[in-house]
Amino acid sequence: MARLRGLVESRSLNAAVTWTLVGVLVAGTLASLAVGDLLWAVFGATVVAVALVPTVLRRDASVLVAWEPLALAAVPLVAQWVGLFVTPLTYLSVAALALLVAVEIDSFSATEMPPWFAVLFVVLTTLTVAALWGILQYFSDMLLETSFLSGRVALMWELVGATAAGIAAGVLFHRYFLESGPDVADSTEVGGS
Amino acid sequence: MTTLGRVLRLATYAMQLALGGITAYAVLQGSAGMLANAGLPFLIALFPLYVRYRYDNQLSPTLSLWIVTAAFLHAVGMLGLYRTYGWYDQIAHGVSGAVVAGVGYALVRVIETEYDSVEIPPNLRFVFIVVFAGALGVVWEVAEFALSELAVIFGGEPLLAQFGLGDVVLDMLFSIAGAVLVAVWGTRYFDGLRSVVDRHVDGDGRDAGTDRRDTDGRVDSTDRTVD
Repeated sequence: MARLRGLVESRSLNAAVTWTLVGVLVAGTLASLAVGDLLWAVFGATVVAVALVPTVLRRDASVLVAWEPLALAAVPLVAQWVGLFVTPLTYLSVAALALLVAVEIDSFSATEMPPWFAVLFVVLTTLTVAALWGILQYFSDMLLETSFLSGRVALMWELVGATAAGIAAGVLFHRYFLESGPDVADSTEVGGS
Repeated sequence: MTTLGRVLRLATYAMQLALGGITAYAVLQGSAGMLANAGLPFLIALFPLYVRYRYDNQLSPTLSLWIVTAAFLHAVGMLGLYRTYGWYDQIAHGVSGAVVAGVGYALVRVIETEYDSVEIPPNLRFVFIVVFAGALGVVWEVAEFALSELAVIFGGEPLLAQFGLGDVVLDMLFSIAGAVLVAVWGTRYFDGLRSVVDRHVDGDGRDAGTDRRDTDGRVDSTDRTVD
């Protein structure tokens, strides 16, 4: 599926924007660590790790994920500092992370995903990441005396929101990245000769 | 098939029958709550049969038995044992997590073998199984939540019970933890061990699970190296 690989790009402009975003994310992660906000530090570190997978695998600093989904994934880390729209932005971020993971699996392994399966995988990954995030929040509340989850109903609405965001991400993914035509994708393929 | 295999199959059929019986009883009683708590596990228990007839692809007897057992324990528990006995409540999360993990595993295997266009390398199957099971766990919780909210809106009793925050989180945790265990069991590195177990059960020497055309030296025809 060559078209999917369009999301992992090696153009220099993309590389510059992506590296800037990685820098912001690392700073945000360290800042969260510094103020003892362990959960957001974990979140930031996860986004950085996912973003750098292509670079590490290729040992080439110019091979990076596309900046758009990475920016989406980074937004809640910034938003939680400002304290605005954190919850809905977190779903969005989870979906963007799922998208990056799907693209990386497609690009860097022998996995063959037809479009329907790639979309399904994005949706399911979003749900799984949302579950992990909920579990993390729960244990953070229990062990670190934070107060992320006010109760069952709050968690359930988070999961409903994440489900909606996952489905939206899947649909968007399909329309935007799979139907945007082979021209765009081919010219940005990893290691394109 | 060996005697052991036959015994496992018989046990599987017995529990499927029992679940069908409970479901039929719920219909006769006209109890929506009972129907939801027996009917859904009954449908899950029919999954191995569905795979056999739809895809002509038999799940291993161990896997079938496990899925059906987990569904059976859940249905029986929801009929009252969860509330009556404390120890039953202790295993409740483990059991429902095991159902979800088992179904997630089976789904990945079916998709893999049925659709030629989907290729999952054995060393990544782990990721797919965990993702499928984790997502199924969330879908299950959201379905329970939606049903109970609707029940409140229409002024009835919730059909599927969600007891509290801890229950929801533990359910999800057990789905994912169960999936990790299943994935370890279903991943290439453990195929040797697994096929020994299945061969003992099935007795005919071939791999009793679904096809694994992908384990041995398939040429990696990808053109993804740099330069």
